[in-house]
Amino acid sequence: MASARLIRWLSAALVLLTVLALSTAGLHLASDATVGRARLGPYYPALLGLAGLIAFVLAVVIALQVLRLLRALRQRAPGARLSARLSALIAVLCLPPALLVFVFAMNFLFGAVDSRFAAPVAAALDDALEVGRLYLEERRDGAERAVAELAAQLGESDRGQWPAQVDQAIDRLGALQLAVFAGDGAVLASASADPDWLRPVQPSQQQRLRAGTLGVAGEVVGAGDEIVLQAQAVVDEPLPPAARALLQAVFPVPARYVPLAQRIEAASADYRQLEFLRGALKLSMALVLGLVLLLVLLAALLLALRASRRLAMPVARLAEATTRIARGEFGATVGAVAGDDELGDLVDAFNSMSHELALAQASVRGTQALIESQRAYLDAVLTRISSAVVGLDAGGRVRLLNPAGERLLGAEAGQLQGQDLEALAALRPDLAPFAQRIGERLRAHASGWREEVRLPEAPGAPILLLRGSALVEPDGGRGHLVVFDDATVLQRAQREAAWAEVARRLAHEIKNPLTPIQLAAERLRRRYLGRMAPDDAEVLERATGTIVSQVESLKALVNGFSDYARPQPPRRLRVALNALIGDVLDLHAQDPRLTLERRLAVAEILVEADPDRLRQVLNNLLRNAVEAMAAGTDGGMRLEVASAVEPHEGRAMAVVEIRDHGPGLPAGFDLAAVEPYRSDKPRGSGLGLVIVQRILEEHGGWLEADSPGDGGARFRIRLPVLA
Amino acid sequence: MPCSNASDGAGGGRVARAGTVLAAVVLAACAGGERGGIEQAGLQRGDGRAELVLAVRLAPALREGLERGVPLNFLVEVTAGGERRESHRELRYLPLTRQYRLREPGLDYSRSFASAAAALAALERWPLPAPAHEGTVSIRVRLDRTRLPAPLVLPAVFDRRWRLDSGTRTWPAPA
Repeated sequence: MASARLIRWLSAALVLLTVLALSTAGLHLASDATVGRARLGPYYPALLGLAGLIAFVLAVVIALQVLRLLRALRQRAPGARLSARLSALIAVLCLPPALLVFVFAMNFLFGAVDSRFAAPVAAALDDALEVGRLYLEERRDGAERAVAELAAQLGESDRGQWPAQVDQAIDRLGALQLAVFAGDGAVLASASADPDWLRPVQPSQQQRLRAGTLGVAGEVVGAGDEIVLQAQAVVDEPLPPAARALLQAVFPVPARYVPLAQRIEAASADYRQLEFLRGALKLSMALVLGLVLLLVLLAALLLALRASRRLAMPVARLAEATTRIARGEFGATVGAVAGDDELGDLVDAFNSMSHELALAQASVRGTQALIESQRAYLDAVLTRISSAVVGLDAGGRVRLLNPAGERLLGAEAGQLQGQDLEALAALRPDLAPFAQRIGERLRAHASGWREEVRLPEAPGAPILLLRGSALVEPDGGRGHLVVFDDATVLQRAQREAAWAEVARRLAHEIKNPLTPIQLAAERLRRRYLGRMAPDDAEVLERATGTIVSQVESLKALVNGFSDYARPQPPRRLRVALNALIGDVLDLHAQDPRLTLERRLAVAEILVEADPDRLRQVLNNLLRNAVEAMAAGTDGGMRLEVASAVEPHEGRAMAVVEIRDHGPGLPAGFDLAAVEPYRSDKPRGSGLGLVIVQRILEEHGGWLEADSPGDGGARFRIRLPVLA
Repeated sequence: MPCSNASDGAGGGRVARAGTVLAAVVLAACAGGERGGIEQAGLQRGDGRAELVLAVRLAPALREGLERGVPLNFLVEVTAGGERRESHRELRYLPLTRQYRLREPGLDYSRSFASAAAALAALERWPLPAPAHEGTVSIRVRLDRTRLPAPLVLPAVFDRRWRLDSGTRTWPAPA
């Protein structure tokens, strides 16, 4: 984070430094190229190429940034429009002032340049120069005359006298040097009045030609920092023109005049040069400053794009995060913004708000989960509870009906949902008293009540035990909850409890004397069997045998009573149901009268059960079937046993069907009405089916019984399959 | 030169002139009109001496510049036997004496001429130190634009009229 911030700072500083460097370099270049000495002249092409390259690179980068911005605009990316507006705004704010300043700066500079070229100055300089020229021309004319006179004098004497004449003349003429050259350039005579002019200066070819043509010629010659007058005249000799001697005199220009003339010449030359360069000066200024302006504007535009993107970025992130929050993604945060400004505060506040929202959402979800859990728990309770529950709103309309209620009322919850109790009465006329009583209680605004309702028209004339209680609805209304049970079932349970107590006491009272009776009978048999006559011994043998066997029967009966009275909680083991059925059937297959037909499921069925108790269930049902068939038929007995898995109310249930081909169930047989110690069999205890039902209920299952149309009885065991 | 002409109009709007000058940047790059150049360059060697013989033609703009005080510096680059030497000559107009002065600072050579033609004629016969190596000699003569007055250097980069360059000429070793 810190390094990223440092990199951003360095990047911005680099761009700013680049702009400053470009500006400074550009201004320096402008100064150098206009009023300076063009020291960078050799590098101008390279500098211009570099500037062009930088401008091109900047333009390409800006174009890429603009393209990216346009693409983001087309895709409606968050922050793109804001970034575009900021960029346009900054560009609009920057470009016109910069262009205006440039135009006015150029105007000012051009004006300043033009103001330097005033017409009177030019005329004055020209006049001064002309004065200087006239002075020099006058001096030159005087020099020509003096040289012409001396040449005429030399022409009247021999060449041998010339050195003396020249020596005499130099002081008289005030010349720096006098020299006489032959036609071939040889020095015939010379004299010098200045040590710097000891060596004769050869006239140029042009000077020779002019002197030869005109007879005498003179000119002003610059010699280093000095100005001298050189004048040549041909000596009139009786020789061919080419062979005639040439007299040359070098005259000084007064020392006071030279610097004045040089300054005038330099000023005039500079002024004329500047006048000539006025266009070039403006062009250089426009070129350099335009280039600097272009670079600075491009850099500024790039900075504007970057700045707008940086400014819009947090806003875009905020917009994106807001959209996510609007979609329900609470907790969406925005990355920290560099800089201690309002945007940073806004981002911090947003992140804090999002965090709080996430916490609130988590809390709401937790509460919802708790409510759902409680509702599921309540649903489970209502589903599992044996009592029927119906919930009514303030208008008496059904809001809730649990499965037990559906079973008792014989109607599905969906049918009654939102209907009032009159609809129930219309659906089930036999339940009219039930609906009527509840309606009466509701109208009386009873808060807690209890009542029994007999349904005389219903089959079996059940008695419903109702308990009502007022409820406050979630919307503030006053609802009602009615819990009702089939009182006949309750009564049966009460009877079963009473019978269990009877069985417990019976077992306790009977079991204790049985062992002494059995022991006494066996002792009688051992003591007196050998002493008695065969006939008496036979009677004793039969009698004691009967006593012992009956005691055994009584013990079995008492054990059955004990089992019924004090049931132990079943074990819970993984039991392979088909294998267990097979084991039990193998025992009964020993009976030669029995023909067993097995139709077990191909795949093994796993249930969670106590295997011993399941064996007891199967043995009880098989024994009942065999006994029923043995009593009703003389021939063979056919018993069919099948197993399968069937769905039941969304659960997989194992079904074991045992079907005999005996006389079938008695007319009006109802499993719900089966009670202990009531049996249709002469030797039955009346506990078999009761125990079977209890064991199955302990395992979450139940027993079904019916008589198929083609004869016999059919029992179905239903047990939950192990998931 | 056209650039100066463009800015000489008195009384015109300065803003308009600024735009005109900007446009001149482009126009100067492809400036037309009569162009000068170094049309010939030859080397004469013999008797241990060497002389560069040139045919220099100045464009009117350069002539005008010369007469208005712009010095023209010509640079000669001589490469012989891997050794490279430079010498330059300056041609300048002296308004006081109305003379043209040709000067070679390195050799203390300075001569004045009454006309530009005479000065150019002197420039076109450029004595060179005889190369010690008698093999291949490469010579390039050009107007040294970096020695022009400062305001002229930058426009001269774009103005072909100020581009006097013989290119590199190579002479084989004498037979």
